[in-house]
Amino acid sequence: MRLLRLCIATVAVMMIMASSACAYEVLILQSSHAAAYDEALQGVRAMHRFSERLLVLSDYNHVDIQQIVREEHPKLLVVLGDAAYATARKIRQLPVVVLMAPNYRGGSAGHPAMTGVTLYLPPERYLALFHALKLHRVGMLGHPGKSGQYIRWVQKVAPEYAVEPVVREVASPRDVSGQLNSLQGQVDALWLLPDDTAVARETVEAYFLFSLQQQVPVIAFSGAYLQSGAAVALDLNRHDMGRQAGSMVAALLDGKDVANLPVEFPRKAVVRTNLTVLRRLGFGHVNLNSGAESR
Amino acid sequence: MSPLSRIKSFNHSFLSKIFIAFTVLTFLIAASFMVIATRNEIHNYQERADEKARLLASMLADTVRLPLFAGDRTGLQQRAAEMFRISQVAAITISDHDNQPLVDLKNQEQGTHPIPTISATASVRAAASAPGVNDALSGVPTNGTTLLGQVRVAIDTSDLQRSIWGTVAKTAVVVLLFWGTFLLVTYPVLKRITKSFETLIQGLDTMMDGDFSLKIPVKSDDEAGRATQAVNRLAEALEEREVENRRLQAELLNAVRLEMQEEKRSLMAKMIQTNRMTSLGLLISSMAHNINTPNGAIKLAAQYLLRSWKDIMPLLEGVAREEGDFQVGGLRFSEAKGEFGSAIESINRNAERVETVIQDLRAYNLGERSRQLGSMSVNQAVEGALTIIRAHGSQAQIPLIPQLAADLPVIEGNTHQVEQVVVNLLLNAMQAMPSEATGVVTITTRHDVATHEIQIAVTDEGTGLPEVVMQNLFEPFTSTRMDKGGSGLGLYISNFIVAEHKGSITFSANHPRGTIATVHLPVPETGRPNP
Repeated sequence: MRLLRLCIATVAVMMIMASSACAYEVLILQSSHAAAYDEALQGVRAMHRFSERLLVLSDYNHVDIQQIVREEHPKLLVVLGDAAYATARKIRQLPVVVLMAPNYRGGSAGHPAMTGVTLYLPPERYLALFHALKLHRVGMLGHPGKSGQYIRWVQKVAPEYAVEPVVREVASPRDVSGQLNSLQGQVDALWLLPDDTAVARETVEAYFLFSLQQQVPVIAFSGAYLQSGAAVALDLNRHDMGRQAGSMVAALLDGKDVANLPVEFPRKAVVRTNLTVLRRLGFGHVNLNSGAESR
Repeated sequence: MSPLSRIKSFNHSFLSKIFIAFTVLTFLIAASFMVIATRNEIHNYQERADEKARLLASMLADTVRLPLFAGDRTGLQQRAAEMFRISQVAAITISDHDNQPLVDLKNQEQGTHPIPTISATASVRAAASAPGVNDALSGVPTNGTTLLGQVRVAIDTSDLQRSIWGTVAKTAVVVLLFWGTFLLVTYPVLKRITKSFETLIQGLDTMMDGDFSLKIPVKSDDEAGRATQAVNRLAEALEEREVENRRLQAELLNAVRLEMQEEKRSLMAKMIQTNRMTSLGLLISSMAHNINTPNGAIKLAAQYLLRSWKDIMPLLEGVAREEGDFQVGGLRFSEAKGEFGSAIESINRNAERVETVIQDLRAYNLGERSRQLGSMSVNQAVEGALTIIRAHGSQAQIPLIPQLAADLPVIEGNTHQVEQVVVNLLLNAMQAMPSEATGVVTITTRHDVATHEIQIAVTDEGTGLPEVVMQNLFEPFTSTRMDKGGSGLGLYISNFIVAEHKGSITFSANHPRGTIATVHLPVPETGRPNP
């Protein structure tokens, strides 16, 4: 079986190499087939015309990107998703533009030429929301290595919005339940951060149980949590994030240095609410301009 | 009727058989119902217990997801204890993904001795409805969820036995009540239904004794009633048939009696005729003897006279020459001498003829030489028969026309027997002629070269033979003239004689009237003309 897979992988690599007889400018690595990636990629392509080759990693058992890069000489690597981001970190000879990768939190991440768009909205957007909902004490759980920088940013600007972040650090998802218990009676709301340690699939339910037991709303970073019990979510505009990345690609193809292209945060997001949860928690009267896109 | 015989009678009755069949059938149905109900109860109980165990396991799996993920044994213990308080829960086991038990609660009784349980296991997985960070941001749901551990809930089913016995007892009571009620209702109904059959069977018993006059009362319009009606109609028909049989039997006896009387009369007539014939034979024999003696004297006298006449003739001729023609018996001698001689010869000849007839009569009567076969002339036999017939004298007014072929070959046979056959045929022909005697009887002989036989045909112009007589011509005692003295044996004997000569007798119609009787006699090969 293993031998068969090896053969298939070898044939696949040979096919890939054969199909790349023509040179191109951008090698796009996509983690998997997903509408969200397509939406973001459309934004990238909308900003600049370039020749490209698209590789969806989930289509292959194993693919040697280093070899492809060596043989096909693309000028730039655009990666979408965490899996592609992890692969691209090893390609050090090319500039990389990262998009739609939750684990990418800005900076070069040890890469000599990496930039991109993070999935963290500027804290002001959330803080303005808390302010509008008159939520002062906001509980936040995060892994120090993943969300520490963002939490510090929050703590820095929160007083401007009369919000007090109550932060609990989690080293592993197993800590979530205990840390949430420590927040009982301490917070007016819970802020879900895009941190896969603090918000793991196994533990996300605990936030909503906490919300139910403590009657505090959960503010999430994605509308996907509304149906699980989140009260409000700020959904990122993926197409616009793609456009942001597209601008970086255009600049890099024009010969600009990566160092001159700082990491960007998403510019646009849509406020989505679960009105049932809001009503149950006593926020039925608050108008958050639900469904409207806001800056 | 004694109670024992009544019970025996009941055991062999239609009612008892149906009642027993109903009793057994309803008992089987009721018992089947009881078994099915009990099995169903057991199945339902097990299904309920299994469902309850699965439901509780599923509930517990939902409840312990977070503590199990966090490894919170206290939380797990607390949630398991909450569920353990539910009745019937006998054991709860919570284990992590490595199957290491984290919580293991058991009923105290189960610890001492095992109790029957039904258990269900549920896997504890991360909530499928809540996505992870990557899923939420990329919009791509991750396939599969991580196994956190599993819970096992055991339900105490020790009350199953109690439940089964309760069900059996309840259904048994219901079944017995149903059975008893059914039989109580069924017996009078069956008795009423089979009453018609009892009446029918009683009536049939009476009919079996031969009394068809009984009318079985029809008490219903169902199959039994219709059967009773049919039996009544059958009895009526049998009664009518019996009356008819008795009448026919009486008529038959009467007819047989009459026929026997007629037969007896006919037989007596034949016996009388035979006796008469015997007497006639004796008479003929006596007559022959009495005639033959004087006839012999006459013949001798005639011979003597002839010799004397011949001796006297020269003397008388001398006298005539001398004295002239003198008168003798009113005639002159010259005329009388011829007549006298002729008269004497005539006497002699006729005496010989009488002798021949007498010999023939004796031979016919005694049947002499009847078994002697030799070469014979058919024409000679026919002429002999004609002589007898002519001598018979009756119907002498009917002309007999012989047409005898001259060149007939001789055949092997008995002349007297053939002659007897021809006599019979000629007599029959003459007796068949009407009294006015307007027709003739022709006897013809001919040789048919093609068939190598001699045919003797006797043709009359009489009344002809009826079809019924034609079919029984050769049967003994068959005659159209039994009342006029016919014996009915002529053709029977003739046919026997001809058959002895290897020949046959045929009868055909003579147009326009009358009958042709033909005797076919075979010609031996030695007598056949050379081709």
